[in-house]
Amino acid sequence: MGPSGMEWQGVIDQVIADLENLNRSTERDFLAVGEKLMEFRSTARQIASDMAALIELISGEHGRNASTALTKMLEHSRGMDAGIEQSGKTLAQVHDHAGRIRLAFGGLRNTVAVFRTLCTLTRIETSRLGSSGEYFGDLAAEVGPLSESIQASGEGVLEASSRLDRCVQSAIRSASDLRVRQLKELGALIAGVVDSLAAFEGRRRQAAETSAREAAQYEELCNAIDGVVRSVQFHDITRQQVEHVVQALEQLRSARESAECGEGSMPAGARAILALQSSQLGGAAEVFAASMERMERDLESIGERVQEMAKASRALMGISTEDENSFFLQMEGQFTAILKMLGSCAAAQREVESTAASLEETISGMQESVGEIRSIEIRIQRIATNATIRATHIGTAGNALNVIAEAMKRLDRDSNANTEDAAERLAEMRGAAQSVYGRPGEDSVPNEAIGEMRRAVLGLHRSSECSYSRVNQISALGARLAAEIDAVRDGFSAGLLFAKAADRARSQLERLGSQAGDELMEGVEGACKEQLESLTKRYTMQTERDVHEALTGGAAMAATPSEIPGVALAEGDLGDNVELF
Amino acid sequence: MRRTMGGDGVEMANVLTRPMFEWSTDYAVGIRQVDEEHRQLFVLAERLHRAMLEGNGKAVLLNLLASVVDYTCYHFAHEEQLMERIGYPGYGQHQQEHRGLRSRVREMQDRAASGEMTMTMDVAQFLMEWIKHHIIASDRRIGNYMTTRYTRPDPSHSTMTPDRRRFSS
Repeated sequence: MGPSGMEWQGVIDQVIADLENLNRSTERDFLAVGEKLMEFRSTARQIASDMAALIELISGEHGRNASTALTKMLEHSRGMDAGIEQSGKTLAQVHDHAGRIRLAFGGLRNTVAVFRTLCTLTRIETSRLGSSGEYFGDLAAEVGPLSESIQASGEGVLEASSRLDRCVQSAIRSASDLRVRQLKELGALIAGVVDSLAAFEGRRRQAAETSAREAAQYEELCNAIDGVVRSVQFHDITRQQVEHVVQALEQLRSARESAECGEGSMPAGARAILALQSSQLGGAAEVFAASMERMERDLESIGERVQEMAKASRALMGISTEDENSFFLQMEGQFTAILKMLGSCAAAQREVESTAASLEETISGMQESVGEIRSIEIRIQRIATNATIRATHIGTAGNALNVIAEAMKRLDRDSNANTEDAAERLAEMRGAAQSVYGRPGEDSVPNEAIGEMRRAVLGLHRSSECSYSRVNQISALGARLAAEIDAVRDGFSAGLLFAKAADRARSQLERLGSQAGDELMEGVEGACKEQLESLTKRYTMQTERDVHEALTGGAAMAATPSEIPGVALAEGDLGDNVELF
Repeated sequence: MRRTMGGDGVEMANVLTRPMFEWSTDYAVGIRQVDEEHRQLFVLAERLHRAMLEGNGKAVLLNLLASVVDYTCYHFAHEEQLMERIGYPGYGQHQQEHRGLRSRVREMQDRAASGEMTMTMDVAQFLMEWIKHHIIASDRRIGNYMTTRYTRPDPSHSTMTPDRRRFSS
């Protein structure tokens, strides 16, 4: 017994509605997936080009600039070392001079004591001479205080010399510390950065090789994504298959309505049409399932590849799994240490300069004192000479005073020889001090070098932080891309939904077909069944239309697919009229 | 029906203009105010990242660290008040983590204030680790605790939500 008209109508309507629904939802899902895939593709390309830019940023012109800056820094460092070594030698000379000055003025107390004795003898002798001795009063009265002045000035020089020597020794220690501890350490630090950069240069060479490989991998990735997009496009075929099934069912429904078939009767060829549509749905479901399987497989492989590449890009830039050991952070640590060391060098340099400046001030004071001593010595010499002349004038009575005055003159000459020696040392010390701290108002060479080195380090740090941020961004982008690809893959439910909906529709169509008594079909069923299946496999829409028209027009079903225009026989060929995107 | 899907001609936004530090529900701990405050940390980290991309990290470092110090003051205080009120069993350990983070930030601020400017990568790394280890792991445990202990059926939704009347601060 055939199905009632109402039931028949209801089932067809339901199948049509289900199939339309299926098409709409898969269409919507696949468009979303397609857009996502295009986004992945664009992201992959962006990552590839950004990696190339990053490698250029680190190793191209910038890399060369960094090498130049570091080489210059090393030269500066060596220059500073040589400068400080020279300063140390000069200060050591100053120290020697100071020692000689102390030696020169070391006998000053004795000299003054001898002057005092001579003055006392002068007073005794002038008293003895009575009125003849009145002309010698100034010899005792002036030479005594003058010799006291010499002592005072000389002691001032001695004290200043000791002070200066302490300063010099401290400056020598600073210079020596600066050389041994800081400049050597600075050199080592700079060499460390140079080594890091050299290691990076090695990595860069490796990067150049791997970047070509990575670019190829990204190209493959893009191709793989294109492959997935093509798989998605298969849906267009199944969609159109489903649309044609819907059209065929609608025509069948119209045919039944227009033919005003009686209760339980079917239009001619209904059973064949239903069987054909069921077969179409089966074929569509198979294509759909195969495409989905391929897509899932491809997406899984793309996801894995992206993750590997993101990992490789981090490894390439030296960011290990232990992030704190990354190349960039090590470099940053080295930059910080260099800047700290430069700060210490500048401070030590300032100390040496300030010592040298105070040295000059002290030397000026000492020179002033030596000048005073020198003028006193001249005065004593003059007074003693006058006394000698007067002693000669008074004859034998003046012999004793003559001897005293001569002794004073000798003592004064000896003292003056020491004074001149000290003056000479002081002049040399002054020259040396000036050579240590340079001319006033001008930046010293080491300070300029330190400034230049600081600028170079800050420049290197700026570009390193930029590279670091870009590497992180690329890596995060890769990881995000991989996660999104996984999410898309995990979210695929279209395959299952399609299979279920197609199965449900097929079973309903087959049930309707089996209930329809179709005499026309019965005659050809056996002969055409195999051809029908073969036709389904070589399906194109035009073929389907031709077959459908042939069936509904009552034409013979015996025509083989190759006899029907537009049937493509090649396996896997989609035919001419498959709409792609 | 013909559809066009992609190809090289498709205009995509430059993906590298996307933020690096962008709060998303992946970082949500499930407590509204805490999540709101975590967003601010992402904003601060992103500000540093953007400056570093241009090689200008030094220019923003001092202000950034000052903002992070302020952030640790109010944000950690809020979290600690919350943990105390809900009787969170990991309160002590969490507070210890806060102390560690706070002291690290202060130490960084001191270093920057003393003129050390080549520490932007260190700071960026620190912020990344903060997000990775503290927010995603430790803070989320507070959210989980609240959800399991203090949720009640919300009459307007079928899902369970934390009782905001008691814990919104």
